[in-house]
Amino acid sequence: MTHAHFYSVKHSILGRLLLATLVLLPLFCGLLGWSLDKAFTSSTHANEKAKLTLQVYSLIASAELEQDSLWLPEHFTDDRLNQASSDLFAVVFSKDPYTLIWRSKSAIKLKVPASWKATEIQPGSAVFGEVGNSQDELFFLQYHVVWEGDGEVERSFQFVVFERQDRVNQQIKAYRQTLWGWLITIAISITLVQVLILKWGLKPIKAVSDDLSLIQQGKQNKLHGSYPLELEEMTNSINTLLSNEAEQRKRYKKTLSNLAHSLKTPLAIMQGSLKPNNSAQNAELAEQINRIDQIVSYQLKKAISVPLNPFSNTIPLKTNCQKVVAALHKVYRDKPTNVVMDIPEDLTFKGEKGDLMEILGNLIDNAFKYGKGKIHIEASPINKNGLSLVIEDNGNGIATEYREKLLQRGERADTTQIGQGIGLSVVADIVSSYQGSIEINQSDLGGALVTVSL
Amino acid sequence: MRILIVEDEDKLRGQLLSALQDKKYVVDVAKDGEEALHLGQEYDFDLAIVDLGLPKINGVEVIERWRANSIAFPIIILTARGNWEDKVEGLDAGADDYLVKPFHLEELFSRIKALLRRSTGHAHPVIHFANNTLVLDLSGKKVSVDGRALELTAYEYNTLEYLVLHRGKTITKTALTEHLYDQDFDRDSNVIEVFVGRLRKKIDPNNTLKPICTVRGQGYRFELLPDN
Repeated sequence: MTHAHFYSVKHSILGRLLLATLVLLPLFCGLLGWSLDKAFTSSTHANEKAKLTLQVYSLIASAELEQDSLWLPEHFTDDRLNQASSDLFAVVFSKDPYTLIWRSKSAIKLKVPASWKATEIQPGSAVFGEVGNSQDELFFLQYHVVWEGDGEVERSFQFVVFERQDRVNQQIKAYRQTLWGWLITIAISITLVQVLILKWGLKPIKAVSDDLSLIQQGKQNKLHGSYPLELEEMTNSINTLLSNEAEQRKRYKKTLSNLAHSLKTPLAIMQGSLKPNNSAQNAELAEQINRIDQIVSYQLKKAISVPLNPFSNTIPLKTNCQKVVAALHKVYRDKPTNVVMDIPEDLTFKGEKGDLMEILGNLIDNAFKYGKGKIHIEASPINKNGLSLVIEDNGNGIATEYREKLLQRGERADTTQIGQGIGLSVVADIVSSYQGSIEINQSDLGGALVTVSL
Repeated sequence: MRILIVEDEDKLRGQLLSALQDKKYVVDVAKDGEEALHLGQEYDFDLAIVDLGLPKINGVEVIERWRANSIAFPIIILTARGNWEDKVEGLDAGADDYLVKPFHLEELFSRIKALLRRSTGHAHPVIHFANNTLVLDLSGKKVSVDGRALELTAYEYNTLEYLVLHRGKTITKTALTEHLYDQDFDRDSNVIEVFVGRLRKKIDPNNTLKPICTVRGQGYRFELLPDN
């Protein structure tokens, strides 16, 4: 078994149950076949013993003791004893000494097997057994008879009937063929039915898994299916967990929003209170307000980016990119900019919508701000759920020495444009929380080329 | 120019109100979404400044409802968090620009001027008329005739600017009053006529250009075409 096969059996309930069935079913069928075979064989042997006992009785009935000699008829009703090449023969031994005193005509060609020895048994009792080698197997029944001869002298005789096993063996063989044929057919049928039953039985689990994957794809927000009683508690718990998580996320966002509002509004009031008299005190205050603003903005934006959640939605990239571009066209209405977008329709971002908007907003805003009217946005899928996003413009680009610094907090290369200087570093923080990477290079258009891999 | 400020924080609202009034804008204020919705639908503003985090009805919804009712004045949103999801949502709902709190008042003034100019279809802040005879600089709030700078009072400039930005449309005296002067201004007075009379004399002393015509019983109309 290859590692992959082992892995799939070990990690699949269907695989495990099937493996158990495949181990247990042959064992069960084997034991059943063996016991039926045993039962049939012993019943055949018992039957054979009964038949041979009847033969012995018939011999004894037809035997007569005359002048201490045993006399048996020339001809028997069972023709097999009369025919030389039959499968049945009988012999009679006298005791003390053991001497063969009679044998049936059928025993002319047949010999008592050398391995057979008469057993010492009580008068009136019988011994049934098998004797011979693999080519010539025989059943025998030995019966001890004591007759009173002349002068009230007791004479002991051993009546032994032998029968070849060929016919019985044939019967057993035919029985075995039929038996094992049926058992194999039943085992295969049970396995097939078992597969169907298992699939049917495990269907609700598959339905849960399908539902979960729809949630992961963002196509639904809870488990909708109707599940069996055994799974209901679990699916209800998952739904509660999901809704709690969503609620908590919503509350978290709202709290951050309120916090931002309650921190930034007083800052705006302080900013507005500064009289434009350019005094040193005003300049100092303005600088401190700016510092607080930068710290608050950076920490709030950083706090929005939370660790990757497996149940995060999948956010369509192109539509959101179009929304950001449309919004920025409004903001930069006085600066006509041609934006070429090359993004596959079905490409999605797996994560929080706010994070994607922050990445797109900051990077495309920079391209609008620093570009000279041309922007190219390209995206392509990488690995299973990842994507690569490239945004380039035809501005002056970013000097090599600034590239690393710009991805750190609060750094900005150009102070002539309005902005808080945290855009690229916020993007870098979000990208790193998704275990992605960000790189700044020179674009063929002339300006900056930012590549984000998520 | 009549501006609506929608901000729930009293102090900030007060600051914006006085700063804009100092710049000779006519300002109305609303402290929550409901009031903003009502004012926007009832009065004809030239621009609105809307905070996104408003009580009763949030800023985005206010903007959406205004736009759904075909209210077209330009809107600047004020956002505290400054995250792009909010900005894009606001701009997508119908806003035209955004400012992140805290902001410099100068920044707000320049955005207001740019939006007012854009909303009246002027791409450039300096507008030339009659082969450069009359030049109006919207960003510097300056007017020159034949290369000579004119001394205009704030009210005179605002009257001219409003008429220029609504070129070709007849502006009633009531509209001028509402858009240019504070609410306590005496609407029955003939001050408008006096201002327009003075303006005509200053920008067209020889009465050759005839830039402002009187539409009898209705109001005034600025008639000159921009040079380009």
